[in-house]
Amino acid sequence: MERRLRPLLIAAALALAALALPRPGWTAAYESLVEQGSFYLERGATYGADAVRALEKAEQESPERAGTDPKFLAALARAYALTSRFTEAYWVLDRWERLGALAPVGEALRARLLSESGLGRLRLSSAVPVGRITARLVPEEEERIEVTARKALDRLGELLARGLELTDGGVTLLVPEGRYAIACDGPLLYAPRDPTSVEVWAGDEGAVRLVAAAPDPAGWTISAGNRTVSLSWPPIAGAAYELAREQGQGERSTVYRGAEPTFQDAGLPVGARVRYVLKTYGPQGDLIAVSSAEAQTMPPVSRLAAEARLGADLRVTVSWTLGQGAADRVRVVRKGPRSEDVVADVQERDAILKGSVTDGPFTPAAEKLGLTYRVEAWVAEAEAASAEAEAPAEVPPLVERVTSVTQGVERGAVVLQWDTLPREGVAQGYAVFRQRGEGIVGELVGRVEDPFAREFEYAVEDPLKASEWRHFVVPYLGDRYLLDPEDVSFGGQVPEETLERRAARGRRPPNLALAWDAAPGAAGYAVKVGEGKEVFVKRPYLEITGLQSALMATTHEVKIYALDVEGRKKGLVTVQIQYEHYPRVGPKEEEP
Amino acid sequence: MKATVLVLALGWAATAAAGHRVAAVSPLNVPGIPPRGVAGDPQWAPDGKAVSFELLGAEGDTEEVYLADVLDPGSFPPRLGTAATVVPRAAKDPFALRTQNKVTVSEGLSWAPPRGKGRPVAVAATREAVERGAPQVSFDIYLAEPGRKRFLTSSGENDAHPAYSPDGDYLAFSSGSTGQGDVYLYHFFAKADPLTQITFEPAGSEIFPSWAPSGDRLAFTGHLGNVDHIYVIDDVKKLAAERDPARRRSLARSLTRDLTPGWKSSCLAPSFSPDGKWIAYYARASADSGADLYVVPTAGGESRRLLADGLPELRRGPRWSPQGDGLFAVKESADRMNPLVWVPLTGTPRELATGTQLNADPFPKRIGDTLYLLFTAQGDAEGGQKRWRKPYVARLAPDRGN
Repeated sequence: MERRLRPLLIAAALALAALALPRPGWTAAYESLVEQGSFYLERGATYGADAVRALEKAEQESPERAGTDPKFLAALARAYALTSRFTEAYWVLDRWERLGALAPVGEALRARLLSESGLGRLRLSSAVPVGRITARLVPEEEERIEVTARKALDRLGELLARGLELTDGGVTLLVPEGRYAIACDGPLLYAPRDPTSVEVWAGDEGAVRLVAAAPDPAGWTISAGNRTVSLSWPPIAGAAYELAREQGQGERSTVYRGAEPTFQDAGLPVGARVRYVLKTYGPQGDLIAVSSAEAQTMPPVSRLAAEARLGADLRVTVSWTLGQGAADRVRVVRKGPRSEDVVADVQERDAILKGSVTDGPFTPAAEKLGLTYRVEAWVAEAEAASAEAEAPAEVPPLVERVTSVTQGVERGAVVLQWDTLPREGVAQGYAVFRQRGEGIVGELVGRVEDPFAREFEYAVEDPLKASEWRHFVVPYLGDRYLLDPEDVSFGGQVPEETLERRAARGRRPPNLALAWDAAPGAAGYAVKVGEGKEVFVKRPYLEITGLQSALMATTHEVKIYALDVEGRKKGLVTVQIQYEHYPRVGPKEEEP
Repeated sequence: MKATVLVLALGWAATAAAGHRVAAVSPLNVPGIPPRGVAGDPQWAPDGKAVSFELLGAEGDTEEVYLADVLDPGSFPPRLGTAATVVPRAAKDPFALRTQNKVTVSEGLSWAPPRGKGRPVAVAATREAVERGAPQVSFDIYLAEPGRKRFLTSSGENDAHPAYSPDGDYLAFSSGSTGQGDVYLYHFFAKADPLTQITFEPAGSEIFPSWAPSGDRLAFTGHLGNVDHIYVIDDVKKLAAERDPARRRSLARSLTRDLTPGWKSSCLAPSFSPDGKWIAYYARASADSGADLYVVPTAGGESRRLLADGLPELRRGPRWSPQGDGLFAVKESADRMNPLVWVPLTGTPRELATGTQLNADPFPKRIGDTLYLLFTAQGDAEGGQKRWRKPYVARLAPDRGN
């Protein structure tokens, strides 16, 4: 195996060695072209273009060799000068000089160019890189350009149109004496794009400062808030900045001057599109770069979500969350059938984006109460809200009475559950009473401060005995117990026997027996107990039962109205009845 | 009769009072020039901030035009910077097809009007080294200003007597490229060929072109046969604008006038008065006679002699005062050692007491409120070095006719 491989390896090594050696063919081509160029040079100006062609071809043939060959550079400089391409000749002399000292012929050529040819130097420079530019140099007084300078101007125009790479911050042109309008173009160039007047004197030096379009707008860091825009840009060492803001109809104002590459602009309108123009000045105060970028402050918030929820304390909590955008205040408005009430006007910055307010407490009524809240997001000085949402809430109707109380004893506790009428009804809370026996005054066991409560439990020492107790659940509102209006009953138009006799017979007497003088012309009478029950009677007598409770003190207002033939009421009597409650003081073991 | 005599006397006295006298005179110290040599043709720059003069080498083998800046215009004599030749010595021309040589002969400087930063000048100069008096000398017109130095002509024959037009757009000169000598114009801002021939006498020579202050006329000396006349071309730029040679030749004939018709001998270089109404020139009645100073109306008319036996000024014709009321000249007088004289346009010439001898080449210049006179002289009348002609400067004051 090794023997077969050896010849192959040797051949490969020889091939690599051959490739590494300089090819005689390449050198010969370059040399030949340089000689050709020199030959044409010796023939004078008529062959100048041919000399340039041959020498440029030599440079293409071997750029590295040409860049270090003084003979080539000397010939090329002379050829360019001979063909009125004076700027290029000057650049070649520069390249030559960078290799070392110029030979006398090079020095003489440069002296000729700078001091004797009627050319002036025009330096295009930029403190910030502008990359490749093209330029146009147009005589402002065409007729004042000397005939000998026209050819040089034409060649210079061709060079400028081909483009210039501004290395080391600048490039020097050799320009025939005269006044010109110069305009430049390039992707990284800001000015001068419009023709700018420049005067060139033979033997003298002038300059045109190019202003770069920098920094790249993509390099800015822009952060926009409701009314602020924070800007930062890539810094340039030693530079000072001037930042101007453009708004609306091109109104421009300077907002910042300083050396820091950052600025926060405040006090802007929301949703405003703003353009910033950054001018960068060099250490000598000359303008070196201009850039611009756009920003937009947050537009007014356009979306928000709102929710309203009735709490256990019969207060409605309205909460909201704003979408992205600017807002200065949030208003919560409760919509009513005929008016609207502002529940809250929030302007604290931290509470605007997400917050809640509480409305109420609401007093349940016979009918359920539908509430609608409108949450509005406003921007200062706006004529209308920029976003709003509605959140409904409902206050259930007032409990009329508690129905079906069930009780049980579990694990040493009495557990009560009940329903209400209406089932969704609410009260401020529920008071739980127990009666240890028939006829025994009830005692308050506890309260549930929850409008929606439907159960209660409490611990007992003797579950067995507790199982015999009777429990009552009474809803209350404020300090008013909502007794079962069905407990109140009416009866007896005219008493048939005295109340004492009735009691002796074991017939419970009414809580209240009312008699009044007949009203002239009354067709009948209406009797109303509290806000609840009302009864119509023909005669001026009524018995009312159920006003007294074994559980608690009660207060009732009884009103008597006379009714005419048409049923119109006329108040006759109002009776305030108050029953006191004296809790029984029994054996200690019976006390709760 | 008495009244006439009285009027004439009063007129003479009044005229005599409007003259000049020498308030101060001094040799002009010019750093940088060889100590030996013959100075000639001293001139002020149009802005008064530089002077020029020719210097003929001590051995007679070189003649070069020098320029020196006036460093301190308010001083007297003016303090000058180091003089330098207009045509650089050992100038290297990498593009010359011929062998590079030193330029050693230049003469006849003409100043361009002040323009921007430079003071362009034109001289007649040789491209190749020559010896003075050599049988074959070829002058070309050489232009020099900051940043620009080049020959404008290269005809192989002599091109000389350059004269800038008042606006600096043209340079007139005499060229031997076509015949004996013709006047040509070099137009600096021509779109094509800048050279235009404007005189066409095949058997004669036209030399010493001189521009009118308005720039529309050109006077010259035309030599034909044994006589020289003063000619003037009216509307010279119209002539120069005609590109067709045949039409231009025809137009030249119609635009050219002989101001000295019938003159039988030599007229020398003409010069316009500052107002352009007069042309002054030297002329010899015969080859043996002295050169007299004459003036002739530009519009034509009789020539009037102002000075007899003057020393002719060849480079640029007689020297008018800045006011145009007379000329400065040199009276050729062995007894008086060629004094400078003030020659009023009307009146009697008066000698200027400079205290110098063998004077020549007066060149007046008003700088501010002061009238100066550059001239050359061969030393002081009373003693001192007399061998070499040196440049001098005088400060003149109005002569109240004491």
